[in-house]
Amino acid sequence: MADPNTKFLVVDDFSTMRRIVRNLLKELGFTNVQEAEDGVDALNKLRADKFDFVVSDWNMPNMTGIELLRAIRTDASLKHLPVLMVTAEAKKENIIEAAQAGASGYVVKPFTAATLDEKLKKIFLTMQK
Amino acid sequence: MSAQQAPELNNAKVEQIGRATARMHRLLKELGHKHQLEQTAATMPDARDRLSFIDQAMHEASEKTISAVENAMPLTSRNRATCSDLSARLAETDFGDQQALIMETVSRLGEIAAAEEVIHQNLMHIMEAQEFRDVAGQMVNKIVSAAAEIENILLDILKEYAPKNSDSLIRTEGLTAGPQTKRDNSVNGQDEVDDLLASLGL
Repeated sequence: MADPNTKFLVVDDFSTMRRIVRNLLKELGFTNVQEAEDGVDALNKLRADKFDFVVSDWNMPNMTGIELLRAIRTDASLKHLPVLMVTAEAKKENIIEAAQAGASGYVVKPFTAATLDEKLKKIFLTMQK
Repeated sequence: MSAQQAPELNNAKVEQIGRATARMHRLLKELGHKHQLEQTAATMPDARDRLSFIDQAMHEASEKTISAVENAMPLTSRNRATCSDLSARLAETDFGDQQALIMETVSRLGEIAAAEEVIHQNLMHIMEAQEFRDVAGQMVNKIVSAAAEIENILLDILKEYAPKNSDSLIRTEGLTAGPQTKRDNSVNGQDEVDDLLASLGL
């Protein structure tokens, strides 16, 4: 079982979506959640504070989710962070691109708390190995 | 691009489009449709406003819904906990003559707790359903951009064939001041259309 104090950063340009993800995480027992409205905001927050997990949208202004993922993977202090992509981009090429860029998981919107739970558990299990 | 270069394109499709455009111009002039075109172009900012209104209305509705769900969720959790606590304590106590009533209360408390669980699940579904805002909002934004594009195309056509009309809608603030209307681009586009039309002897 994952640590309920796991600190999440939820990245999405839609405030409603951030709110929903925050509530779904709460339902799964994770209440330590911060928000960022795009990739740039997220990177600043990740570099200023210690986080354990990133849940990011793809399509955002300033810096997209895939650019954020690449930036995380090339940053020595952040590259080990698990990054779950949560996005409406359901094209195969998007999923392949995310996987190649080092995404830890990929959830297509719309999704449920159950889907999120399943993906998180899978990532936590991989992290323990 | 100059009028001399245009024929060198020698592209059958481009020529075809040019001819079709020229024909449309002639037809519009003959039929006196300029006014209708102006009206159509004028409806575009209105269409954009309406779509933006829908987007905003959706946003407010989802935010209100999520707030209501957030307020209700802790109540269901607390009710479940209260039911379990009360029934556990009642079940452990001997109430003598009233034992039958107590057992029924314990049973009813269990039913209430189960119902609260169902309510909690439904509240979660309401929350998850608000995700429609994200995808629907993106679609509305795309349609807003498309409306702006159509408006620009209509304005280009209007400019091209009624450039000297002083009361033309093209000159009014409302149309040219639209967020996506690029005056420079329109002029460039105009030159290119003129070149092409000139190459076709028009």
